[in-house]
This record gives sequence, structure tokens and C-alpha cells, in this order.
Amino acid sequence: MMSSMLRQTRWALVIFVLLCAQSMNEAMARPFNISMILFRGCEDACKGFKEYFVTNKIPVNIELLDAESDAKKIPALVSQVKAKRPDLVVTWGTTVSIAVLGQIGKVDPNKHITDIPALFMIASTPVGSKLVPNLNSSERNISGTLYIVPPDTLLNAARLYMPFKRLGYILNSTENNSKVLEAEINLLKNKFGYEFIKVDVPLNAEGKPMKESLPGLIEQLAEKKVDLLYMAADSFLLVNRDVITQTAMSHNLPVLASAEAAVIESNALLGVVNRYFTVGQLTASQAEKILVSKVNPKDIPIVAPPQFSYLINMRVAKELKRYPPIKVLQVADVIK
Amino acid sequence: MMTSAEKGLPKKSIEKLLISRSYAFLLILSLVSTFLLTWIAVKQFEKALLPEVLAKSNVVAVSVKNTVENALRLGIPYDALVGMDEFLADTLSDNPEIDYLKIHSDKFSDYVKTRPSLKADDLISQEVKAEEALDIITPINVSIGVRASYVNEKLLSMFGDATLMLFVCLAACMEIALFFLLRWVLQPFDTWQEMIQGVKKGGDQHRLEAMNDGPFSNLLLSTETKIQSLRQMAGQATQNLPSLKSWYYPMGRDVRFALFLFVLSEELLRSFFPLYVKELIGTSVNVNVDLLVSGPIMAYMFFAGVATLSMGNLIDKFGLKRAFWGSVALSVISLVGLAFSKGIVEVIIFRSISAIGYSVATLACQAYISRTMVHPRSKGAGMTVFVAALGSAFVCGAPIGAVLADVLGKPATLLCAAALALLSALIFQKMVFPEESVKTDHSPVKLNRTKGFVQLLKNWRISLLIFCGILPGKMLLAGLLFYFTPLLLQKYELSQASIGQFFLLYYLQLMIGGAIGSRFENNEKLQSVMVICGSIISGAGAVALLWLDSPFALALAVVSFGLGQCLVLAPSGDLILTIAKRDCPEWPSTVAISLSRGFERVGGVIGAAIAGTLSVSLSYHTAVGVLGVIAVVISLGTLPLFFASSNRK
Repeated sequence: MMSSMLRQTRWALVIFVLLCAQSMNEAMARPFNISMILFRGCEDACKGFKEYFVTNKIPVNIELLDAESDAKKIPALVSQVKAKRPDLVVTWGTTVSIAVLGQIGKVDPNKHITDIPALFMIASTPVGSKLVPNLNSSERNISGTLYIVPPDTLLNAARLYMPFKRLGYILNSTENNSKVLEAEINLLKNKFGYEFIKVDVPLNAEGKPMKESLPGLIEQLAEKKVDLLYMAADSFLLVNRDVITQTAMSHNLPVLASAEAAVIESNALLGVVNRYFTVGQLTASQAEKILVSKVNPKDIPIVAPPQFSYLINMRVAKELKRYPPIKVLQVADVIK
Repeated sequence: MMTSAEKGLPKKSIEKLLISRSYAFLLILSLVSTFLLTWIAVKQFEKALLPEVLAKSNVVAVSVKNTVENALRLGIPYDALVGMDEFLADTLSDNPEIDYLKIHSDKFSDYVKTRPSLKADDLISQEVKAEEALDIITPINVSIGVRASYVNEKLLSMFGDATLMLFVCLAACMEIALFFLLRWVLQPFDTWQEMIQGVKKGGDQHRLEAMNDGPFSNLLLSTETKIQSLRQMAGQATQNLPSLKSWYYPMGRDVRFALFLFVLSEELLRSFFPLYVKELIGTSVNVNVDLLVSGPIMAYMFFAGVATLSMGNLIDKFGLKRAFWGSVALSVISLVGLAFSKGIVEVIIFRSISAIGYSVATLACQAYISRTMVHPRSKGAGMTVFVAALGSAFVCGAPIGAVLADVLGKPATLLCAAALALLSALIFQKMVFPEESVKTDHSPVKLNRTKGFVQLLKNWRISLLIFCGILPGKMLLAGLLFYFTPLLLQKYELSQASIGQFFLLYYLQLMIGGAIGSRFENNEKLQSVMVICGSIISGAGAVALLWLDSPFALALAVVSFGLGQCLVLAPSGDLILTIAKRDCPEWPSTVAISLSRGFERVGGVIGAAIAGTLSVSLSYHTAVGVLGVIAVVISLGTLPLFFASSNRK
């Protein structure tokens, strides 16, 4: 009697374990739904994000929602995501991230996504932009990655390349990260011993920065004998990178960029950057923690890739006749 | 010929005899074997290693060639290559076996970098020639010169390190061996002698100490049983009560190991302390870091000086055990506190506490020795026990501390030091103590030390000896040895162990110099000459760093300082006592000693302050040079002593 009961219990246990395994298997097999809200289409960070899941064989359905560089389209994309309720939302860029996730103290559950786990990437200064209070925890349902190399690292790297006494900067007052960076660079002037020369991008009647003012601003900087132009990674400057870097080159003014596109796709002389592709992969690894390991986003610290890239645009170096020191060449990624 | 016993002179103590004989025997044995091993190994390694070194250098040359060719491939013109001098200098710095590097092309001038120490007859040249690289407009060749003697240098340096560490281990092991020798052989033997004498004389009942746990414990126990049975037969009480006096009468040598361990705990910090402070401060403060590093050294010297002059009464008040336990408690608190410190203020506070602990502990040991000296067997031992224990701890402390810091890390080494201090207290606790001195005020008038100090300083010769003979030496001790040596050696990228060896170099010289110096029969003239020469030599080596910036120059400065101090230390103390006794007989010698001790600490504070201040505006090696110049200029003030001293013994 007793032994038959034991046998039955054993069989029941085996069936239970098999059922559990089956349901876990199903859960594993069911692809995770991810909605990515982008600003300029699927560029390198987006590609790196997608590639990570392929490499690590994690089944995902990624829906790409592009604002097409128009911030006004973002609220409609938020509504779309809210209706679909994916497993994870990923935002690209500071403007999109603020519009989708809201700033600390200004989060509105009707306007922003609050009840779906979210990750931000390519947001220049998440703390300065008030997306998160600090990098250890967002204290809400979001996490993310960093991609901007701190300005002192950038300036140290620039100093290895060339000495500079006057550092130029174009301030775009419509973007928060541009203002945060300006304050940081201004603070560093004593440490590095440079004179900080800033020009403001004028705004048009709609309060938007004027693209046509850029050549004049760079001419102003050249007249003030600026040795190096620090180009922030704000969207306006990046969109107009060709105008900026080409004009600077025509005034024999080297450009130090904090975003790779300005060096790789345009005419900035050098940049110290986290490659967008790498940032995308890192964001995907954060996503894996949320989706697979079921970690609460607020418990995931906001991190940067462990190594950055020193980019040199050799074509510009030759044009400006400012060749990189041999020691810099040993560590740099040279764009021919 | 009369023996020392016949002359009535005290016999050489057995532990001193054992130590000196064992040291001499083991040193000769180990040095001979080390040198023999070195010679054989150098010859063997030279054959095997040189081809490897040449192969490695060739790889370096190929790497240099590839780097330059990559730059040329990117379109940088050969004559517009940027940063070549720095690149070649870094390559030489990373590869100490290479003495020169040359990159040459047919069309343009060469890029060349050579070491200043380059010797043409000691070079093995290799050349990496241009390959058929069609994509390079300017083909280049790279030539390198490898120093042929490099392998020998490295091996000799390794065996040199081994020899020094061998010596340190020998010194530490001898202290441990002596401790067990005392505990298991000499103390039981003396106890047994006293027991036999006691029975012969039929004196008071004594107690047998529980310390007799060595091989002779059975002998002592059976003798004690015999004595008790004899007393029983005589109808006397036979209890081993704690209130009874011990059969063993304590001697100065008993405190040696406890003192050694305690001082060792302090000396473990020497080689890395400024570096530790520098790491702690980091870049978190706006004040100059180098200036802040001198703060804890100054605080230590200041509080050690104040405690030495003022804490003597505490020992009389609380007794030896409590005073020593108190000082160990202070040391342990400060060392543990230092291990977990987060900022400079905490470091300064803990170092000040540490200084007080150190001073009280050494005073307690001195008091122990002086109180045991009334016994006839202790005669002649005196303060040599104190000096010997300190000497061994100085020799062992810095090198062992450096190795521990390398292996375990600096905070863990501080915790080890705290453990050593605690162990010293446990050993001190187990010792047999002399009777506490009965306070008797023999002097009708209480001594006014300040008045005595002023009186003594009014004597121009004493003033010159203190200000120009002793003070510069102590300035160099704090400034050159404690402050700049670790910082400079870290700058030269030498290991922590090497820093310890520099300290060992200094303390070894003091020990050897002291031993040799004590054999001379001194007179006042000779002592004056020794002080004059010694104080000038002390700083002379440091002056060389004004022009030279290398570990060898620093070694020269340390050797010169050690040599100078060998000449200054003993004669200056003797001279001050002699002059004080002759010219100011109303003041006892203790006042002169206190005055000298006090100014030693003042010198330390000044030295650390000068070092910290100089390092703010000057490079470390220039600052050492300037410190040397200041010391030499001050010591020139001792010259009048030569003309004023007589040939009296």
C-alpha cells in the first residue's frame, strides 16, 4: 500500500517536472517583443542592438518606430507602443528618451511610458537631462547605457595629439546636453589651462537653431584664433556636421568630436568615442538582463562600454597638415 | 696577561657572545655561498640568456620599424613624423637592455635616441633592414644597440637583492633564536644557579616562574621539589605563592625580543608610508599633495619628541606593565586606524597617537633595562641590549615591510604591524619584572629642566654640536630617508622591495659603523673631527642629486648619509655629555641627554617641513639636492669645534 503510494507520488513528480520544463521551454521559445523608438532610422547603435540577439540566439521580435528626425511624431509612437504593450521599449537619443520616458518629477503616465520596462541609448547626459537621478539606479522602470566619453578624457586625448590654448565651442541652447557639456568644459579650463571661447547658435522665430548661422559662427571662432573646436554630440550639430567640419577645415581649424559620425562620415580631425555599434550591443546585454534574467530595470546600473575608440581622420590630418604623433597612431583607429 | 675577570671587568654577556659568533659564522657562510652561486649562475646564464635578449631586442626593432612604416603608409611624410623623440625614448625606457635606437632612410636625416650611459665597446649592434615594401615611398632601416653587459647587470642585481634579503632574514631569525635561547636555556640556567645559591645560603623562600617550559623545566622542577622537601625537613613553609620573589632575577636582555617586535611593528611602515599617504590623498584635495605627505611625518616627529620629554613620569606612576600595554594599545589603535583611513586628517591623528605609543614603549623598555642593571649579572650589558634590539628592528623592518606591502598590500601590512605590536605586549606580559623603583627624592631641590636647557645652550660648543652637528642629520633622516626616498624610488619605477633595501642600506651602515666606531679609543679632538666630517658627509651625497636624477645618485646620497651619521651619532652624544659635565657640572647628564633628544625630534620636524615645502615647487631630485645643500651649510658651523677641542680622553 505504502510502496504503491510512493510510486504514484514519484510519477506525479516526474510529470510535474516535465510539464514545468515544457512550459519553460515554451516561454524561452516565445520571442520577446521589443519596440525601438528611433530618431534617425536604424543606424549603427540600432544595428548593434539587433546583432547581439542574433549572435546570442535570443529570439526577439524587434519593431522599429522611426520619428524621422521630427520630435512632433514621438507622441503618436508612444501611443502606438502603449497599445501594443511589448516586453521592452528601447529609446534612441536624448530627445526621444525624454519624450517617451519623461524627466524626473515630470513623468506623466498618460504622456509617457511608465508600466513597460524601458532602456535608453545614445542619450548624451542621462543625469544632466534628468532622465535618471544617478547612474547607479533610475529608481523607476528604466535603465540604459552611456555613450559619450567624459569631456576630460576627450581633452586629455586631444592634448596627446596637439597642444591647444584656445578651445572653441558651439552652444545650442535648445538642447539640454549642449548646455550641460558647456558647463563641464568651462569647469575644466583651469585644469587644462585653456581659454574657453563659446559662440551661441541663434534661434529663428520658431525657437529652432539656425543652420545658416553655422559658417559665420565658425568664422568668428577662427578670428578669435581658436586652436581646436570641441563639437558636442547634440542632434542639431550632428545633423549639420558636414557644414561645421567643412567650414572649420577651410579655416584650418581642427575639430574634436565626441560622436563618431563627425569623424567617420564627415571632416572632424579626431574624436574619442564609444562606437555606436558597441553601445547598441551593450544596450542589448542590458535588455537580456531584463527579458531573460528578469532583473528589475531600476536595479540595473547605467553603464558605458569598457573601452572607447580614438578616431583620427587621416584625410583631414593631411589636409590640415596636422599629422598625429606616432604614439597616438599606435592606439588610434585611423579613418583613411 | 690578566683576563678580564682578573681585572675585575665585567665578562662579555653570553647572549652577546652567542649573537656575535653566530652572526659572524652564518654571515661568512651565507655570503661565500651566495657569491659562489652568483658567480657560477652568472657564467651559466650569460651563455643561455644573451641570445634570448638579442632575439627580444630584434623583436623590438621590428616592432619599431612596423610602427614607423604604418605611419608612412598612412601618407605621413618621413620628415614630418611627429613625436619621434618621445616614441624612441619610451621604447628605450621600456627595454632597458637597448642602449640606442636609430631609424634611417637614404633620403632624409636619421631619428636617433641613445642612453646617456652608452659605451661603444659594450654594444652589440643589430639591424633590421628595409624590405621590398612597394607601398612605402621612403624605405627605412632600424638599428639597435644592445648592452652586452645587461644580462650580468640583471643577474648581479638579483643576487644582490637575494643577499640583502638573506641578511634581513638572518637578523630576524637570530632575534627569534635568541628569544628561545633566553627562554629555554639561559633563564632556566640562571634560575637554577639562584636556587642552588639560595639553598647554600639558606635565605628566603622564592617562587618558581611558570616560564620554565623548555628542555630544562624538569631539572628546575626537580630542584624545586628537592628544595621544598629540604625546607619541609627544616619545618619551613613550602608554598609557591605568587607573593614570593621569583628565583629568577630579571635582566635587561629579557626585554630584547619584546622591544624588537614593537619597534619592528613601527619600522614595517617606513618604506611605503609616504606612498600610502599619497595614495590616500589622491586628487581629492586642492592643497599640494607633496606638502600634505610631509604632514604625518612632521606630526610623528613632533609628538614623539614631546612624549619622550614628558612621558617618563607616567612609567613611574603606572608601572612598567601598564605603561607598555598602554603604549601598545595606542600603537594598535593607530595602525588599525591607519589601515582603514580615508583622509589626511585621520592619518595625521593616527600618526600622532602612534608617536606617543612608540615613545612610551621605548621609555618603558629603557626603564626595564635600567631597573635590572642593579643586579651584578647585568653589569656591562646596559643599554647595548636596547641599541641591539633597535638596530635589528631597523635592519629588518623596512625590507620586510616593503615585501609585505608588495605581496599583501599596504593596509594588510599595517594590520600585520598591529599584530606584531600586540604580540610584543604579550611577550612583555610574560616577562619577570624587577621590583618597581621606590620613589625617593634625593635631590633637595626639584630640577628645573627648562633652566638646565637654557644653561646648556648658552655653552657655545654644546649649541654648535646640537644645531650644526645633530640637527642637520635628523633633518636628512626625515627629509631624505623617510620622505624623499620612497617617493623618488617610486618615480624611478623601482619595486617596493627595492625601497626597503635602500632603508636597509642606511641602517646596515649605522650598525656596522657603530660596531667599528666603538672599538676606537676616543679623545675629544678625534670626536670633534668625527662630528665635523660626519655632519658634512651626511648631506654631501644628497647635493649630487642637483645634477643627477637616478637611483644610483639616490643610493649615493643614502650611503653618504649613513656614513656621515656613523661618524656623528656616538661622538656627538659623548661630546655633549663630556662638555656638560665639565662646563655645567650643576646639571645632571640626563638634562643634557633630554636636550639632545628633544632637538633630534626638532630636526625631524624641520626636515619633513623643508622636504614638503621644497617638493611643491621643485622636482624631487632637485629638492633632495637643495636639502643636502642646506644640511651641508648648517654643518659647516661645527668647524670651530676643531679649534676648541683638546686632546683629552
